Amino acid sequence: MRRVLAAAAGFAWAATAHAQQFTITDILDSLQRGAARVNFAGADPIAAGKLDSVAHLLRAAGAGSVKVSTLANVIARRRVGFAEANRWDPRATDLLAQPWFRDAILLLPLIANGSLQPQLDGKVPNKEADGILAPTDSLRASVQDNAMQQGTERLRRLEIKYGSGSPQLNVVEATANFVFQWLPGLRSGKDGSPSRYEFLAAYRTMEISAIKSSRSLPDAELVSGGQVGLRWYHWGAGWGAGSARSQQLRPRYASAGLYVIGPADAPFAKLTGVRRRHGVFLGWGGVHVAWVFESPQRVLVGGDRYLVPHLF
Amino acid sequence: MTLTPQTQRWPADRAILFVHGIGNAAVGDYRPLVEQVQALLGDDAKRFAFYFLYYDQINDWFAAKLQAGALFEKLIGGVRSKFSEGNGAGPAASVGLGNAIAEFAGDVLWPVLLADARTAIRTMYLNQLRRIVRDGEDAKVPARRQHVSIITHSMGCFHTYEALGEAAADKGQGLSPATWGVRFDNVIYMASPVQLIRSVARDIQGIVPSRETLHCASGGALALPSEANVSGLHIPSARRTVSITGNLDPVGGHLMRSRLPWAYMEFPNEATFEPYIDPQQIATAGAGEDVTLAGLLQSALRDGAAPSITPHNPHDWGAYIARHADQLKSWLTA
Repeated sequence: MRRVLAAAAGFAWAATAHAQQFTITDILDSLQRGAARVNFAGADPIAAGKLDSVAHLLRAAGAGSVKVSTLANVIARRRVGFAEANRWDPRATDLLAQPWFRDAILLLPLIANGSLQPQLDGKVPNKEADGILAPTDSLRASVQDNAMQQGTERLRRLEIKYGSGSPQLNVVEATANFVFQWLPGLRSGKDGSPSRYEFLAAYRTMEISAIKSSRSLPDAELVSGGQVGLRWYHWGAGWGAGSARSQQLRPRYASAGLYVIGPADAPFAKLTGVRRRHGVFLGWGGVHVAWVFESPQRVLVGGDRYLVPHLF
Repeated sequence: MTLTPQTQRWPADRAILFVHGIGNAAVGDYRPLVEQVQALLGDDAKRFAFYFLYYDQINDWFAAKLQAGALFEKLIGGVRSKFSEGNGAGPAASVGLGNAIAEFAGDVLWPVLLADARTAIRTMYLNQLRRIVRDGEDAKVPARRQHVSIITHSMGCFHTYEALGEAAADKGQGLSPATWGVRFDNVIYMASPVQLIRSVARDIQGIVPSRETLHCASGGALALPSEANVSGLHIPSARRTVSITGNLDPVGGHLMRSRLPWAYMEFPNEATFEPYIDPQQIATAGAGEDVTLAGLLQSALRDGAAPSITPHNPHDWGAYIARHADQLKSWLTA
């Protein structure tokens, strides 16, 4: 039956190869059929021997009914869902997670395209060759679909972190984030996904400071402040997108860290000196709120926009 | 999301992907170049689907994130003001030059020094290659019978080499030549800085992040992107790899007609590799002759007027294509 399926797929290749849910058994059967068709053992004994070995291994492990969509997830090192795995064998989750299994299934297309296909080329009609290779073509299509999805998601995250509207970095931040590329947890993922964290060190020229007073309203004034902390980006869909109001409610990033104001309560003032005061801040998008806990305690509100490139 | 790969219906079994180089290209900027290739293909052009990878937007992200345009403007502002003294050039010229230098440096620097920039362009490139293969399959042409060629220039050569290197090394991309049978008829590098970047990246390897993912800098020598089959036979991603450069083009590894071994890209002993080095002139006089004193005098006497001298840009992509029009037609239509 499976041979009929594979042969039929060859005659309507483009329409069915990607939609057909082939299994490991379909791949093995079609490759062994192709091997017999061109005397593969005589033409390429190494590849033919490996095909026999891997076929024996996979069949002995009871993996014959695993579908190409599941195999594509294993190749992409995606976690295979419990229901997806258990549909064919209760031992599936363990088996799919084993490194040898991924290596074994990657041998199948390597033998198909790297060794068998050159033997088929010119020796059997194209339609017959297409039928033999239809299951592995289907696996490639699934792997490409996965890679396309992962690539698109990676680009979306990179655009959130670096694209238009993302916070610009000053010299200190750029240097620190350059070094972060070597730090585990802060560097990009093995798959190339960007880290959601970014070092933040900023001098804010004009923050609105509010201090509790004896009057009904707190005393407000403009002061300068400094931030050192981490910015983290929201990867969730819808964050940092849409109207200005929705971007305020669900911004592309948040931040937190230490806050400092200098000895003098004035805008454009220096932050160093023995009487500097410390606190903490929380940022939500381009706005942050700080609490300075050294006397006099105060709450400050400010924005992230730089007035002078590279500095503040 | 603005980085969606280009997709189209194939008229037959062939496609060409153009990948541009240094600059600030926007969608449509290279239409004249595509028209130039269509012209040299003649009637055969109707059999091709033409793709163009525009990736400058990603370079712009990183330039803006690091405020690089303004930084370079500051760095060279003083120098520029010295040059512009007395010639009427104002601040606008300084800003323009600063931005131009930032773009040039950024195009080279971001992918080498910022792992995320490298990943971004490579991911965009691989998505485009997958889309091309799938467009071909949608036209009922299996990947193994597709005739896809890549023509790339300058920094585009670097991105092409890196993308093909990743495609060959990571089976999870679905594009490797032995495992998935995805091979390109021709990969044609024009004025390639791949060897130059390899040399520089290896010199500064201490500050290159995720060095193992920079394919051009790995290994003992620059190698064609390829994958071994189960018998150990290396199958290159491209059936034919061509490198064309000019003997006056510094990006292609030449300085005043001298080859710079540390900057010139070659793959010796590779049967599928064809190198071409074009003899170039800085300028031509009159009807295309070399600029010589005798030639200029003859031209002036012949025309009864001052001789005309036409300067040439040795890095011009269109000129490379024009010089190799016949070969391109032969390679692309084979």
